[in-house]
Amino acid sequence: MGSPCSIKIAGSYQHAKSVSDACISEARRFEAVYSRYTNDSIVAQINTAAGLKPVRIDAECRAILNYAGVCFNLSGGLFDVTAGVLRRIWSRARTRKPTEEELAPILSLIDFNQVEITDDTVFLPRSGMEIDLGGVVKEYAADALAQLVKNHGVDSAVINLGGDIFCVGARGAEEGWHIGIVDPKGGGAAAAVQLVNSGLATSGGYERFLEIEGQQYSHILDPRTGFPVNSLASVSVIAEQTVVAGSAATIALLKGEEEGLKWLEDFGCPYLAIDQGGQMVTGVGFNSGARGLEYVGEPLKGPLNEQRTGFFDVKVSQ
Amino acid sequence: MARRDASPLAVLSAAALALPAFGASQPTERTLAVSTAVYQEDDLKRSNLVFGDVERYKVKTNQFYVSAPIGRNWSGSLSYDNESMSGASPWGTSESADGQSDVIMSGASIDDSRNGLDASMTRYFDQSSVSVSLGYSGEHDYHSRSIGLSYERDFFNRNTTLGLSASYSTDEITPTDAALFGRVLYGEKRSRSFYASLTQLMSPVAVLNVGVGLTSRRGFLSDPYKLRDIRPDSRLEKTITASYRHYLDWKQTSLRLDYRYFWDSFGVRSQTVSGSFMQTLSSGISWGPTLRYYAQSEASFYQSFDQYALPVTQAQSSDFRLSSYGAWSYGVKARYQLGAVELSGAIERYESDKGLGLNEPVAGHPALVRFGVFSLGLEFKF
Repeated sequence: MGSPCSIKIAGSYQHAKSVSDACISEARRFEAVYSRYTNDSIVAQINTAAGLKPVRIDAECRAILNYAGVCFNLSGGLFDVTAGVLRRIWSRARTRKPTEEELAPILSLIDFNQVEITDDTVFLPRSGMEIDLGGVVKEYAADALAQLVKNHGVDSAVINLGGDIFCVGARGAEEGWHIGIVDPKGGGAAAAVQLVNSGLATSGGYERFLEIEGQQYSHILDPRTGFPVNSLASVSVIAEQTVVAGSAATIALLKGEEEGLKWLEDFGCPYLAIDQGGQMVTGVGFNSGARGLEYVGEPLKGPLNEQRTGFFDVKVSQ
Repeated sequence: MARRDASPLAVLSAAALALPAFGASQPTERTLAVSTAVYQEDDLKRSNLVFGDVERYKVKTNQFYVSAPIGRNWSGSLSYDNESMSGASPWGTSESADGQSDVIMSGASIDDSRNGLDASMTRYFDQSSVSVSLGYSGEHDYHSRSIGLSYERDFFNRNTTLGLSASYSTDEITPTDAALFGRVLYGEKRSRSFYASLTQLMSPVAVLNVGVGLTSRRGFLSDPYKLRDIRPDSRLEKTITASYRHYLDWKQTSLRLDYRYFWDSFGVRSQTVSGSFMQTLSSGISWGPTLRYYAQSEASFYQSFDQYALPVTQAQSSDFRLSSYGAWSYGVKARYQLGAVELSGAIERYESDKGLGLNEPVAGHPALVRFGVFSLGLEFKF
């Protein structure tokens, strides 16, 4: 995964060890299946077959691709998993600002709408097209591992995959899990949150800058122009699923400072956004507490709460 | 911006829920539940009684249920129920002086009990599941055995689900005191059922389900305890059902509307419409009312009073359940979660009336039933 990961599980050492072993296997599985780097990951197979033939995918991969499609639509085309090809332009080796001529052929390979997805196959129609599911999968993996620990009977745990976090249950009877959101300018935590059964994802643009001819170019790129976006420096979102929090945060970054803040406010989930100047903007539940910004979570409910119908119906003959 | 049902959060959450980690189709919890219910029919009106007692049926039911996941891909469930019945039921009807029909109630009060056992196993696949179930029900004069198979498959991100099921059952009846009352000594009935349904997620907050069913019954279909009840030896039943569920953020309210249309080879047609909602109050209690309306037409061989002049080879029955009538039932359910235990209770009232049926009856059945049900339940998940 590339960034530090940790799993904290409440329970006996024996149990916690076996559960965390299961989590590590599952995390490795995600990495093996969805990584761009390994040769036999499904993503590598799909990218190698671009322009050639459709590739068989399983239900999980299809669900992830469909989820990426929903993000694409919701973001007006900004969140595009085929935009990874821009790496070829914005690489560390670059010394000059890219020209329109250099960008044009790469831009023609970026368009999620062209990806052909059926119930069990996916096809990238043009040679050179690539999909990169790393972002979505890392956030989804936090949710998947949380579900895994719950399946093992654990009701209190924290899954932290490089900043994409899911808190299962609460820390104690009265308090949620204490998580600190890092201040991008260094110097500790920007905010302290207490989470109960929630996911927290942070997307940042300030850590990875490319300096070319004295100018700083962020790695948040607009897939339509190929150029970096004037984005917020860091966005953290809290939602019932880490993958939802992560997509919301990423889309906020892609929309640029002004539109991004508007998107976060409309989205309706608690958020903390930090702009390039270090200013913090929060909403939907984040308060100013004694120790600075804080958010205290209550168990969240989802949009479709299935009401179980009782299986006990007194049989009445009619 | 006003929040509508299809807000970005709702849309994204719905797409996220389609991811395998969330759609855990295999239940991960074990469930243990018990419940008890009392069903009591209203007394008959004395003026409608020819012979017998006005007191009707009372049934006490106790149920026990357990379900658990088995391994990674299976789950199983077992349920046991026990009913004790007491009271009398109509033997037949006769014509009264003013042309109406009056009821002859059975003299002796029945005291019987029924035991039922049902077991099922489900295997979960990537996007589908298959279930097998076995059932047994026995009373001292009636035994039933059944087997069922069902299949469910998801399409398009779990937005659409197809369900297919088939079942087969055999029933045997050995009426009590058969020789004494000149009843048939033994009867057998075989039923075959098929059902297909489609469930579609219309939006992140709405689900629609439609289904069709077909059941064929053959064998001894008459009621041996009635004085004069002769029914055809085959019956083909058809149903069409539709149900709609909608969720509102306000107090986590779930609305539900159901419709069912039934018609069969006995000439009976019926319609059922019901509506209900459940909501969660700030105290943590969930509650909700239900209202149901049912109306049926009479069977082609229904007689409002037993006609002994008719030959025994001709189908005839004065059973109120084959007459034209309608019924209203209304009730309230409540649930409360206390840790891992959920307590639930319900009361329901049912009132049938000849005036509510689909036909204009010549003479309404005097024994149309009215009853109340009160039930309590406990469910433990671990």
